Amino acid sequence: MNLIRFTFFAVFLLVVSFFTSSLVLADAKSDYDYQYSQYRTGYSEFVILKQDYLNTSSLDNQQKAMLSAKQTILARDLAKASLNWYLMDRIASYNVDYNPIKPVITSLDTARQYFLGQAQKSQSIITQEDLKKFTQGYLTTITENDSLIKFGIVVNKIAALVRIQTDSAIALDAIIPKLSTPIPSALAARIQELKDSSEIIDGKIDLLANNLNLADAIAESVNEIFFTSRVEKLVEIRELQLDWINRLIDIDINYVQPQI
Amino acid sequence: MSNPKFKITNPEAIKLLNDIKSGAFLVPVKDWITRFKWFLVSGLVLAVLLIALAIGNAISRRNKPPVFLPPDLGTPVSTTGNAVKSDYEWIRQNIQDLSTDLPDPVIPPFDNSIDLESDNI
Repeated sequence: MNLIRFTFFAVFLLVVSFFTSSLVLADAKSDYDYQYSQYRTGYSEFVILKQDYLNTSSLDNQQKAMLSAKQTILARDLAKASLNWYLMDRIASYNVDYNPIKPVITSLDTARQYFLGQAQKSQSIITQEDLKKFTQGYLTTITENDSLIKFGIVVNKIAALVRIQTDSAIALDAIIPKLSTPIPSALAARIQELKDSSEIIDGKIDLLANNLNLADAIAESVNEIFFTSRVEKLVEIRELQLDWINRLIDIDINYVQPQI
Repeated sequence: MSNPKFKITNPEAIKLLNDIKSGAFLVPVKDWITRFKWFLVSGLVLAVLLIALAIGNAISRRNKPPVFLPPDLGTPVSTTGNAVKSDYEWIRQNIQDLSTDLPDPVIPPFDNSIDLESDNI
């Protein structure tokens, strides 16, 4: 009897965890949207209060501007942390095990922890001098952490391409045993072409991923062509993948699927 | 049996008979025709034209030109109903749905220099 109860409880937990995991995936985006909207609201208020203080340097205006600055810094760093989390979540959703992008994912998490730490640290600001020191310290470390977001954005696309490559390879492996034997030489040649093309695409993805030089992240990220140069590569790989899957589907329709 | 013989005694009737015999009766008619001859000619021409149009119309209705139509090709029948679908269409769809735009998501602007000194707002 106890065993049955335990089994029911385990199944219940499994179902609950399944639904809550999907909610967590949805949360990454909604959390980022919420945090960024908080920052936008806070920043527009801060700009007005700072201007008031610069126009009239009263103690009251200073306190109002200080409080607003603290709130805005908190919202800013939480928004950045959420953006990193959102990117990590999207990359994880592709469920790929691809070594070249792992250092970037780790760095994204490190940067997220840094932003969360800065958000917490900002709440110890009391005086205007504290605020000045905080911002000066922030500016010395922020460039590298900000630059990682750009790397995360590219890695997100690479993970999508790798997922497609994995699915395509699984599809080809599933089709081959379904072909009637002996496989005609023309068809065998087409399958070999698919395998060769797949290796070429893999090589192009590897090249794109290995060109993400984390050691020189700051210099790379400020480069104006950081994204544009990679867009060209993404487009090229995507076109090759589309051509590949078209050829596979043609084989599937003509040699595997029952003809009506 | 007597043969009765009529004798016109009414002077107006006698005058009318005399006018008819002498042709004097037609004089006012001739005068009227002479006076309105152009109206009469115009009316006659118009009447001839209208009659000609009516006749032409009636003839054209009787002799309609033959209509040439293309042969009936029948109703086109759709051939998409029996199309064979691959099990891997979803991979193609995933590739087509993959956006190559960068940056995606767009990096929003953040102010990293929040302080109360600088006038950079």
